[in-house]
This record gives sequence, structure tokens and C-alpha cells, in this order.
Amino acid sequence: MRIANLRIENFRGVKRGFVQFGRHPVFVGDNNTGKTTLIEALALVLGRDRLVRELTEHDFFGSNPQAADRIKVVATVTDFPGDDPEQNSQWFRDQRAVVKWLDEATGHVHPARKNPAWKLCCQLGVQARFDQDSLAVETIRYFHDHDEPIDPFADEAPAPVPGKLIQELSFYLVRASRTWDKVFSWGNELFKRTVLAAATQPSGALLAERDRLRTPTQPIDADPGIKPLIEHLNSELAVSFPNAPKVQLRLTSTDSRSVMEAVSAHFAGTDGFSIPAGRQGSGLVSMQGLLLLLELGRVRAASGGEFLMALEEPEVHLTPSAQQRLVQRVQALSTQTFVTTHSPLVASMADPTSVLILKKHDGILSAEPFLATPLPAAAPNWKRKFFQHSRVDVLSALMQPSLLIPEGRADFQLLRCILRPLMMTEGWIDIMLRPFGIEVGLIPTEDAKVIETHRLMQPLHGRVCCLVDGDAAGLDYADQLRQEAAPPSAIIRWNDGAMIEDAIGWILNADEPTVVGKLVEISPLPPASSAAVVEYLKTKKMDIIAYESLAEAIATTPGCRARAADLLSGLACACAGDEATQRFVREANGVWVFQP
Amino acid sequence: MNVGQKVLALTFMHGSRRRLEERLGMLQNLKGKTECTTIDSFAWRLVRRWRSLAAALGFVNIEPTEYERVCEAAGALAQVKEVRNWVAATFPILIVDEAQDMTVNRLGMVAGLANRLEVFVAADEFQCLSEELRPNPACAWLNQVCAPEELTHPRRTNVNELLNAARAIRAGEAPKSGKLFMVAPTPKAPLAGAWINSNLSWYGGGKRVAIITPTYGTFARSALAWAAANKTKKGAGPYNVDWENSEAKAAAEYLAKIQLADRSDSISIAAVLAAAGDARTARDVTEWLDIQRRTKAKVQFTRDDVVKLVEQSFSQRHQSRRNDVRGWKGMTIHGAKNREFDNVIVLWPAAVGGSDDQKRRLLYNAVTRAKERCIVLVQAVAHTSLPPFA
Repeated sequence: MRIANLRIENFRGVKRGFVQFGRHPVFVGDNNTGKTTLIEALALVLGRDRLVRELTEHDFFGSNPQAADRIKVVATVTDFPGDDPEQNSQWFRDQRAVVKWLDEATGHVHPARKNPAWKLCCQLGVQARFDQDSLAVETIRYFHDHDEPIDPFADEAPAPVPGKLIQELSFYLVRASRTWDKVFSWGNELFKRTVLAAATQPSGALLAERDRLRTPTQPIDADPGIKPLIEHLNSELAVSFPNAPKVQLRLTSTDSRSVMEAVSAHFAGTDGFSIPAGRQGSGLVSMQGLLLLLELGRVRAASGGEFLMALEEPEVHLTPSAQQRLVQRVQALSTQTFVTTHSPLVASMADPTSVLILKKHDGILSAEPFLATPLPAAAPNWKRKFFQHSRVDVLSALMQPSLLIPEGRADFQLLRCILRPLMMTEGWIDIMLRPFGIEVGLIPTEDAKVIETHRLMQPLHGRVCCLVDGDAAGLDYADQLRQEAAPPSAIIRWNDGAMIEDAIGWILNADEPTVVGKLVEISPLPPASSAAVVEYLKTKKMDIIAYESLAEAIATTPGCRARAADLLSGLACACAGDEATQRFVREANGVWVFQP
Repeated sequence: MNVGQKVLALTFMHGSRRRLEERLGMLQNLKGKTECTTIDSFAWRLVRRWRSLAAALGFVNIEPTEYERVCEAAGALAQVKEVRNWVAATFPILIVDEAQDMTVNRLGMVAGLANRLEVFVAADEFQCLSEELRPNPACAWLNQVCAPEELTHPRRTNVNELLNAARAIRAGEAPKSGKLFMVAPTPKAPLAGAWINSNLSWYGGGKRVAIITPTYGTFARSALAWAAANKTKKGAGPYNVDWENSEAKAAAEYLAKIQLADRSDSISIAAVLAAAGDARTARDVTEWLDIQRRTKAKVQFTRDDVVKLVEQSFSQRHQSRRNDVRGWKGMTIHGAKNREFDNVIVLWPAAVGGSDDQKRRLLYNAVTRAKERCIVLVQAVAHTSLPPFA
């Protein structure tokens, strides 16, 4: 079984949202785009009671719920065995779900199957309200029969979802904050569950340990060090109580439960030392819980059961190779996974069609696949490169507040090269009006496909900007972009006739003698002036080594560094639509133009 | 039956629902595996859950109190394979009692379900009192889909006089008076009242007694009034026997007593109801008002809102009432339908409408409520030589 889609109303930062899922979606997005809200909404509707956090006013959109305000989450479950309600009568019968049919193309659910491609589905809903009298949140989970506005708290009581079915779905959530000190212990619910599913209780060993603790061979209270104290206590007791019992010191409460809860995992290294989990690095600690989950998943998969797993930020505490292995294992063992990540690396491991870019605008949450359908064999080369080689860069850019699509690859490389050493300089952030590196994600545009790339990115991000040259071709791109059905949030161009190399020249001119002196090795013939550097850069595009020495020279020359910072922060302002910069000025047609 | 599966038993009124529940509960192998409900509430259950499919079939904006529409929609739903399977997954077996009272729409639902469920139907055409259901749709359907098995052994009573009287009425013959079944002419209401009191005095102690009449008119009212105010010559009485109203009538009487503004706030509504004296209705309504305030911040209500609630409260009270009657009660034949009493006193006024056949059905229904004895007090002496008495 699989969750095909989720509708969210009034939950946390999301006023309204609708997201469709494939088998292994990976969610990326800027901070505060609702990744965690989406996962918590899934937990609300699919999680066993222990998993669901108690709700408060802050879980309601706007944090100030009135009597009629409701949190509402509806999940559509599909992929039932045989696609036949009769084979799934534990789901579809009186007191359980009614039969509905899902059109996966649109996400719409229909009462009757008018198209053989529609799939059997049922809908589970959760609603919550804040009671102003008791100051508590009341929550119910029910079979969502229809979309008519009926209040489950005031009107008719809907059919509740029995815990048995929730267990059957077997939804697990690994939150980003992994508080997993004592995972391999019976004090931990997950451990208990895994032992139950994947092994048998080691009761013989536990009972032996209990008996040993009851009658220790070397009792603590018999130790000569403490014995006098114990004897005094005993004689005092004897005076106060007739038939006084004797004090004995024992480890644990000597019943099997306290023995089980006292169990604590140790990790023995190759050097032979055994160290408790709590003393290990956080990588190993956070891996423990995942190991148990994988084990549970393995058992569920072997028995043909469902296993749905949501994993927040698999990158936490793990090396990139471990991240990759973990995500692949989790996906292989689960019927469905939901992964959120801030790591472009994790996102790029997934198939681009299952990477969902989350967007939130005025509280409206939506998700678009990074790539809508798999690339056909006939896909042009630039597109292939864009979604395959450059995937990490593109995904990383998509996680930033604004997206900048430059006209060509050279702009991308130059801007990025200059930015890096600049960010290393102390106080770089103070000299910028807006921190370019934090606010703007740069897209590695292929083959000057600025228009096409914009069309690809526009649905994925709320603020897509384009940067074009000041030559005839650039002006033409700018005009075309303005006439797009969904034009960019900002169109930016270099000054008339100029391109990025000319802007570099303007940076170098801040302290020409010093900076050109540092660039003797940039070209076969040492350049004599900044103009010569510009000339060289224009003829030899994408000379990464030259770009790096150029960036180094700029970063170490204070005058140039200031101009570079000014240029970058000006670009960031233009992307944000902020007129605080003088470096870029908006023309009558709305295009931002560089002012050297 | 598999784990979690049950027998669904449907009948008409809540009284017979309870009786069906008790009887099925006596079967050891069905303990905890039966669910008894009325046809109408099961129909609403189907329509409520499958609301979007019902809408797709053209049934929209149905209120739970629009019983015929609800049943019509449920009938349409029961024609859909998925719905039938959905019911059958929990209820592989369906029992329908008093099926003769099913209208075409109610029959539609049962007939639809019968395509998938194993259905057992009990019907007695002669006990159908509604003249609109002739010929009887359920009996016609039954004869079409199966060969009905005739149940000849009566189980309600083993008193021969009562059995013979019922058989005679049914056959259009004169029922014979004896000791335990008796037809007595009582032209004047005081005479009928005296009969009532002496009967109650002799045979009513510790028994469930019903005073039943086709229409609660002057004859029945004055007979009961006499019984409540007078003693017989032998000192029986006075006995005050409560008249059982239909829930709708009780609600209407309650509503007539209270003064409600067209629009008012919950506090003043609660005050009006608290003063009206019926604690249970006051509690039902104020609870609902409180839920509205807490869940919708609604504190203003129209008169119609309150009327609807009061009616609901009375109808629920009727549904949940346990024992049919403790002690002595008066009621109409329609109100007595499907119920049982130790002792029945029938008040047969001069004006009983309908055909001879209809009169026989009415008398039959009244007489067959009795387990031990039954007297019929006839107002018009001449009528004792006409149907249903001859």
C-alpha cells in the first residue's frame, strides 16, 4: 500500500496544501517551506498514537485557533493488493472505509470507477480543534467518506480508524532530532517492537542475570569499606522496629523489568575496548535507531507486510557515502519512503522525477517534481547535462530564497569562483547589503538556454531571476523573458554591450596596478592591464584555473574586494526586488541594469 | 462467519428491534454476533457513509428524517456491487422481520442486498395495516424470488381460546367468546370503564396490561376517564391508565407548552427549557447548545433549531426505552404493533373506518398482542354481528 496524496489544512505554517507522492519521494526546499510540517502531517494521520505529538495552539495555522478552526489532514491510501475491495475487506466494510477510486494523474478521488485506470483507494482523515474551555486540543482520526463540510466534533460522528489498521500500515518516522541515547534497551519502544518482530525475548539470560543480581557473590554491603555503616544502620533499625529487616544493597530492583531497562548497548572497538553508546560519537548513536528500523523493515518485507518510513535529513551525522547507503537501504526495504533533506547530495541520489521541490506561498503549500517525466531518449544534450551532471548544483540552488539563471556557464563559474574566497574573508557579510551566497542560488545554465532553463525552474521556485548580457542577444533574451506567460521575478542584465567579463574589469579597475600585478600567471603572456585580463577571459571562456587565480587576486586586494562585494550584494538586491542598491537600477521596462 | 462478521437483523420499530435482539441473543452460537437495527436507521447508515456515491446517483441533500428518500437512496446504493460487498464483508447474513410493512423503497434496499447477502425474511401479509401496501410489495417479491416456508406453529401464546379467536378473525369468521377471550358489548362508556376496572382488579396485578383501540376517540377517552374517576359496584378502581403518545405527539405537546422567541441565545433557551420541567429534554438540548458554542462559537439559535432538537430528543427517548411497558398502558393499535402484553383490553368504538378486511386486520393485530387473555369491548352493539366480529 502507498500514500498517494495528502491534503493539509490549517496545520502549522500551512494554511492549505496538496501533495502527491510516488513510491520514494525526496522533499527538498528552502527552510520553512513545510518539509517538517508535511512529515508531521503524515505522522498525524498514519502514526500510531505514541508517534503523534500532542497538539497545541501552535499547531494551528496562525497559532490562535478559534472555536470553528480545524486542523484537517486527509491522506489517500492506494495500491491495495489486487486493486480489489473484496480482497481487502479489513479496509473496506461496514465501520471501515468506503470504496473510492483514485485518478493518479490529477489526484482526484471519485465515488465510482468510470475509468479502468483509476485505482482503488480509501481516505483517512484527521481533524483537531482547540477547546477554549478545557484549553486542550481534541483530535479524531476517521475514515474520510466525502468532502462535504461536516464537522466531526459537532455534527455526526464519523467512523474511527481502528488501531489495527494503522499498525498494518506500519508507518515509522525518524525525526531530524535523533534523541537516541538508549536505543538498544527495553526502555525503548522501537527496540521492544523489533525484538518482538525479529527475534524472541532472551528470557533465559535475563532471568539468570536477575537471579545473579539478587544473590551477588560479592555483595556491596559486605565490602569492608561500607560494612561498618551498614551494621550501624541495622542496629538502629533493630531498636526502632521489632523483627527489623536488614539493609542490603543490590544493583537494580532485581525484577526482570528493571534488568531489562538497565540494559545498555556497548560498542566494542577493534582495540578491544567496550564503550557505552552514550559515549560514542553522534554518528554511531544516530545510526542505532536506523539499524533497528531497517531490521523491522527487513522482517516486514520478508513477511510481505507494509512498511512506510519517513526519514528527516538522513545527512545528519553521516558521511556522504553512509548517507547514500542508508537511503538506498531504507528505500529497498520499505513499501514507501518519505525523505526530507537539506543536502543536495542526498537529493541528487534519487531519481529526479521523485525529487519534490516544496514551495510555500502565503501559507499555500505545493510540491512540484524536479523533473516531471523521465527524460526521453531524444532529450537534447543541454537538458541531459542539466538534470544529470549539474543535478547537485541545481538542487542546491533550489534550496535558496532566490534562484538566479545566468545566460551562460561562464557567468555561473565566475560568480561562484569570486564568491567563494570572498566568503572566506572575515567580515564579508558586513560589507554586503544582502549576502549573495545565502540568498541567491546560482543555476549552471547550459548552452545559453536561459529561456528554456527559466521555463524548467519557474514552476519549482517562487522567485526565479535571470541574468543576461548587455549585447543584442542578451537584450533579445530579456524581451522574450518579459513576454513569457510566467515571467521571471527579476530580469537583470549587464550594462549596454557588456558581459560578465566586463564587470570583472570594473572590479579590477578599483586597484588596477596591484591586482594586475598578482595576475602574471593568468595567461601565457602576462597581462599588462585590466583590459588585457578582460580580453583574455573573453577569448578563453571557462578557464577554471584562471578564474580561481582571478578570484584569489580580487579577494586579497581590498579595493577590488569591496567592488566585488558591492556587485554581488547588488545582484542579490535585484534578485530580491530590493532597490537599496545603486549598482543595479530598474529601467522603465522593469529590467535591472548594471551600473559600473 | 469469519472473525468480526455478524448477522444483520432489520425490523421496523424500535420495540420490535429490541424483541428481535433479545430473541437472537438467546441463540448461543450467535452471542455477540448480531446487530439489530431498524430498516430506516440502517438505510441512513448506508447513505451517510456512501454520500458521495449517492450524490453521483442523483441523491443529494438528504436529511436523516426524510425516511422514504433515505430508503430510496439506500435502495439505489444497494444496486451497486461495491456497496453490497461492503455490507456483506461485515454482514454475510441478513434477517428481516415484519417485512410486510416495507414500502417499495425499503424493499428496494433489501432486494438489492439480497443479490449478495444470504437473506432470511419473515412476513405476515395479514398484519400489514397500511392500505397503500396492497397488494403487498414484500410478499409479492418473496413469492417471486423464493418459495416461502409457511410458519404454522404460533409461539406468542399457547392459550387455545386466543389462538382460535385469531384464526377465526383471519379466516373472516366469528371469533368465539370464552373465558380467556371475550367480546362484550359496552354501549356506554361508563360500562366500558367498569369492565376495565374489574378486569384490571381481577387480572391486572403484576401483569403487563395494554388497553388498545383503533382510534383514540371519544369512546376510548370517556371509558378511561370513567375508570380513572370511579369504582365499580364491587369496589374495583379507580385506576388511572396512562395513554402512550407517539414521540411526535409528545414532542408537539411539549413544544406547545414552551414560549420561544424566533431567535434567542443559548442561555435564555436553556432557561426556558429548564422551566418547562422535562429534565431529559432540557439536558439533551443544552448539551447540544454547548457543543455548538464550543465547536462553532455559535450562541444564537432560531426557533426551528430548537424545535428540531426537541423532536430529536423525544424520538431518541423512544428508541432507548427498554421494557415495552411496565404495568398498565393505553395505546393505539398502530402503537401496539409488534409488541406483546400479558393481558389486552380492546376498546372498539362505533366509528372504525376502512373495509371489512381492514377491520379484521386491525382486530387481529390487537388480539394477537395478548399472551394470556383478551377482552374486546364493543361500543355499537349492532356491530357484534358484523365484521370483524361475524
